[in-house]
Amino acid sequence: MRRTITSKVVPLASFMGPSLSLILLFYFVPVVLTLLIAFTDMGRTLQWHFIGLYNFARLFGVGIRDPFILKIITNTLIYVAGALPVTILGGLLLSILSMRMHRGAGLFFRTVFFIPRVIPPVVWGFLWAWSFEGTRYGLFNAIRGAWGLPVVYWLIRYPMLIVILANAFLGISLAMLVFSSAIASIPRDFTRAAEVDGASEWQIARYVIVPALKWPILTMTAWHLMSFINSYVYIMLITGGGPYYATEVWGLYGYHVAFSQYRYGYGSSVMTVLVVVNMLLLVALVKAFGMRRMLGRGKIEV
Amino acid sequence: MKSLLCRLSLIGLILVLVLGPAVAFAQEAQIETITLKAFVIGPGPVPITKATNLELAAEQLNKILEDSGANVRVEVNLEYSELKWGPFAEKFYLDFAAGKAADIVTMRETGELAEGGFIVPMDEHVKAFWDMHYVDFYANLWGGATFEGKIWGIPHDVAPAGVWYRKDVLRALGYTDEEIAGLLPANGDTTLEILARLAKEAVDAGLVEYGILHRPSKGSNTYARLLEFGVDCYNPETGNLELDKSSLLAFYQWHKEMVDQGVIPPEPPGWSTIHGTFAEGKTFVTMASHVGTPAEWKAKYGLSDAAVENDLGFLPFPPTEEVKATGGEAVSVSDIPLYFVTTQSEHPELAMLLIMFATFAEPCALHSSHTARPPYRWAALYHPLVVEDSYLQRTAPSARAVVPVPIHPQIWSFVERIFEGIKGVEAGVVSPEQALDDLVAWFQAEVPDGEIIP
Repeated sequence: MRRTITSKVVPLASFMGPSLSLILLFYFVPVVLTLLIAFTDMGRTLQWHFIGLYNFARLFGVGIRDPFILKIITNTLIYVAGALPVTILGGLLLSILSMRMHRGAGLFFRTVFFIPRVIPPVVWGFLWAWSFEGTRYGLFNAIRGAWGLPVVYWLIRYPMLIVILANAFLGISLAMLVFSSAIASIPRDFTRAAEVDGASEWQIARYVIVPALKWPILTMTAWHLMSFINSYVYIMLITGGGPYYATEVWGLYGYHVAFSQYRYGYGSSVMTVLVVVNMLLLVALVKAFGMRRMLGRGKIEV
Repeated sequence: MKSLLCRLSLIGLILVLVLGPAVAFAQEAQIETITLKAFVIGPGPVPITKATNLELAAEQLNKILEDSGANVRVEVNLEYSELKWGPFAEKFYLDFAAGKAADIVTMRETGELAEGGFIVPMDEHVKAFWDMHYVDFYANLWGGATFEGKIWGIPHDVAPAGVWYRKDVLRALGYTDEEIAGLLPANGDTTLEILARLAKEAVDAGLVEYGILHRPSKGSNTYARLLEFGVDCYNPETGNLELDKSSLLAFYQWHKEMVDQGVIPPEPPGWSTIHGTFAEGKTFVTMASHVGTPAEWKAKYGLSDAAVENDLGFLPFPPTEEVKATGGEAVSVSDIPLYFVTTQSEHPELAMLLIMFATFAEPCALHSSHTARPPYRWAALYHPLVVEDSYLQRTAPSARAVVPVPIHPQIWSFVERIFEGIKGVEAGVVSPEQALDDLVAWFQAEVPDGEIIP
């Protein structure tokens, strides 16, 4: 009996142990530390006092209020609601188009659209920031300047649109790759049969391809929903959350509070709320989609 | 000559007070090397002398030790960091928490450091060596080193912030040099309204791209600009921060007005655009710079010596008409970076001595000649490096008129919040009134002892 248990535990521990240790060390320990710091007034000097629920009370407007919280919640919702459909629909469109064209051309376009995924985040962020810079040195303003047009302050006039597009383009590249692989696994007989029946490209896409991609679409939607709720890096690089909190989303606010204003205690409370939101969202997604079905076989419904 | 006498006296005193016992046993004992760690922001072209001056100081100190037969030597272990001020301070606090803080650091957060017990007061040291060393430091600079009645660090740099403008643009507008000197005198005896009017003329005439540019982030210039509007931010009598609502509203409204008139852009450009467009004459006024900035314009943006001499003008930040009418004067501000000795230093006295050597007239002059920033002590004015530099000679008095940014643990957080409001107002995404309301809400939450003036 004992031998049987050992023979099961040892291989299990050797396979699961390293990854479990890493998850414990780099996810659970920081989460617990963040939670503890959230109950303190710790600042840059790392000196701290226990202040109970004060940070959370402030966050939720009990007593002293944080004047920017409502604005930040609204921004986060707009950002996610904007970036998610652009990502999924964009990825779907590119994958269908590139898979339906000549093989070489399709490969070329998929490679081009995958470039954002392989370049360093800082380069991608600054590329967008420079392109939309509100001076004659910015890419689009330089082009306008060549036509004698005045400078446009893009990042002031369309800040949210720009950060949505910058993030969505990254999301599109991943979604496109996943959808393209899924399309490639649809038996050719299906599309050929549709072509023989006289179906148009649109009809093939609408009635043959998209229904087969149900699970990849759900998986990518869940993936990017979580990703956009937590995202802040590109927004920080492109607009810095501005102008005046116009693009400050929850994750970025937590970062700014902790690492620009050096209020680690309050910043931890902001991030603790984000962790809780993530956990709730994860539970909801697993319930809605079914973890077994999402991770199990048969992702292409044919 | 005076400098030489001071130095000789100083050497004598060090020998008697600090090294006497060591000398007695010097023949028998082995030479002991004491390593002092210094954590210095750098090593960019401007701040490098903050560090190299410590090395120079160690050389000089060791020479004296050797000559006197002492069995002690000092070695400086310099750690340069190219981080910005905020992350630099963050790293220091992490080092401190780990028990590995340097003996000497160069920082600006005097209030935070003193209040948290990170640095040792230097009153006794300054008092002991006042007559022979510190007596000729500019008196106004000590205000930037004093917190709650004690001196906590030694000034080693000063960068008087002010307004740089293009005289050639005014000439192109038809003003003569006499008229320019009358409108924008070097002592700042003018008003912000006059400056803004000239900037608008330059923009309307199509001579420049930008009328006025300010910093893209908070800084000592931001504090100076608040003083233009009579916003003090700090009550020296109570030691608390104060928020002057009506003056701050006027401050925000002025920025909105300037954007509406096309004088200030709605989005503050980055540093390279600020410096680049000013150097090429496409910006009329920059409020983002200080006396020493021409060194950077020459090195990085190709500005010629002739252009600095003939086409640029500098003045302290002029007050608004309203503030001037109530006795307000032009003001130049500098935060005063200091050499501090940390409480984790095992040899604080030696660290203080080293700092003293690093702020002799010679290192001070070296720093000035390297950075085009004025000396911070009288003796350096007579050093050949400064004597032979006409720009330093001309701008040296600016250091003596500098007002230090008040020392309070939360002063920079406060200035930063005010600056966020400026950006929002200029971008047009928030009204001056709303920016003020948000600022008040932040102030009430974050500054419990803060005073709000209606």
